[in-house]
Amino acid sequence: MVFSSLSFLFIFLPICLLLYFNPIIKNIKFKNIILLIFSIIFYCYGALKYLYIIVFSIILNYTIGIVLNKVRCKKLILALGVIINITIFLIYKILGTITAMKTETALLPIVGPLGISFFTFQELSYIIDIYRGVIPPQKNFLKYALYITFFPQLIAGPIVRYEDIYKKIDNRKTSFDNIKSGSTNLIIGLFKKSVIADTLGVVAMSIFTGKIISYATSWLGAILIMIQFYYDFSGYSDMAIGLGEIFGFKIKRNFNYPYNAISVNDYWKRWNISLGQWFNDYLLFPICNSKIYKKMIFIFSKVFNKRVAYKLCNFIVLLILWLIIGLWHGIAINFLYLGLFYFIVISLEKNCLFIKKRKVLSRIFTLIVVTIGTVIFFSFKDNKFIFLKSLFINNKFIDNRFFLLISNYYIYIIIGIMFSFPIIKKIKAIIKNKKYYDILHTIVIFSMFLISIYYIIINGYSPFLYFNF
Amino acid sequence: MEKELDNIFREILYLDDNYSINDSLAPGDIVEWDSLSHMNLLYEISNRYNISISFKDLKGIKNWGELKKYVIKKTTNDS
Repeated sequence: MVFSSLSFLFIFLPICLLLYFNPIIKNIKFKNIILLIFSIIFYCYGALKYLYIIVFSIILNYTIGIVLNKVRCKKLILALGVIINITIFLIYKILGTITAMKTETALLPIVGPLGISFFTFQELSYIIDIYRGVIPPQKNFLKYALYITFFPQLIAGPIVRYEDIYKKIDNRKTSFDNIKSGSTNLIIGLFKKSVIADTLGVVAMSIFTGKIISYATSWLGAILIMIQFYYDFSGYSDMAIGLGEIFGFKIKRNFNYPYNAISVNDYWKRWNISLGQWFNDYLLFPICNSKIYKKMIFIFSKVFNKRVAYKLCNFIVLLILWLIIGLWHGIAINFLYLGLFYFIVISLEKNCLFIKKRKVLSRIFTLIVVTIGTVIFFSFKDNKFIFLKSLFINNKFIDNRFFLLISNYYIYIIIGIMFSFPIIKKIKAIIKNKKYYDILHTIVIFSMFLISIYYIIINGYSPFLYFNF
Repeated sequence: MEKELDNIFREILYLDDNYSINDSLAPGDIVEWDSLSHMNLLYEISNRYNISISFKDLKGIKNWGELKKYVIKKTTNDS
């Protein structure tokens, strides 16, 4: 089920809210059961045939969590848990990619268990954190199942850490302010997805898969893909955060104006934040604390000086990290190239003071890199990278199609570019204390809701891009 | 010891000699302090003082001052 669908907005969500906020049901245990049942229904709606995988995964990691707290051979149990989780993840990723290759769609179609990348990573963080002593294991199976399946974040994240949410599972209150702020985030996300992402997505895909005859159209296509990707994914995250707030949970924000980044490294701290932090805590930290890594620094320090030793070791770690991040998205050549591309660029950036010290140049460099990165990301079926090449090798500078597209879609493009930067934040800060703020806020949000519904009706079903992962 | 730790910080993050290091500095405040240099910093400290820094302990540390306090406490306790 998609958040930006009429069935979700006018059937699923209202019924869920009516039952959840029913004055007869006051006990948190029953409220949790309602959320669990609705989360399972939500998952089954799109992936009934894969329900057994998520159920198996929940039982497995719940059991590992309990066992980890009782046995002495914690390392062995954790290693076993990590291996089983990653094996299941890889099997379905590879099978998914093979099936996807056979389909005729230009983009990566949705195959395999929905949200497997997200719930696997969430469960890995759970068992690793228990091993590290950061969190206690959840003894109640239903509460653990709710943590994993909670429908706002189940399919496309953000990856929610157990330590951030477990107290709320036992004790939470929903105030009017929570509902107001949650609804605002939900509507903003809905608007981003249904009005901006879906409208520009159609144009972007027509350029991406069609014949390109000028640089201007190619770059317009690439920019439109960037806008679509950001509004689609961050729109989903806003909706997830909003829905979480309505039910009394606080889900951390997953995007912080990534196109406003001052460097490529900074961009990755602002884009899909929960995934970046996950790799930091569960991949980078163990690698850098491993005996092999320490030995590597020791050996390199003997051969070179310490500074070079650190640099060489960092290169190796960065390469491993980026290859894994690339392939996390799918076992395909474009994702491998994506990982390599960011490894090269970030290594260059880290060691090139010329770019680092000049803020304007660094911002431009970041935007160009991210544009190319996004095109590589979407070249799943474009094995020869025809579109990517068209950005650099083309026949004409500009063509009529460019003017036609600009004249038809300029409003969406302007809005899309403008709100990719923290303009709203600045406007809000100026008018926050004015008397008319509340009324204006309500009118704007309500209008955004109506406009979104209108676009959902005319555009029809449109899944989120990140459902594929 | 605090001065010694500041010198390690300066050395690992390649900061100029005239850069003034203050305790409220946190990862992200300066470009040089990214996740990899953070790992290098932890490695260098744990190696130099022969201590192990656990992930659990690191969770509560928000800035350079807190990390220094943690290291000083850890070295005192371990010795």
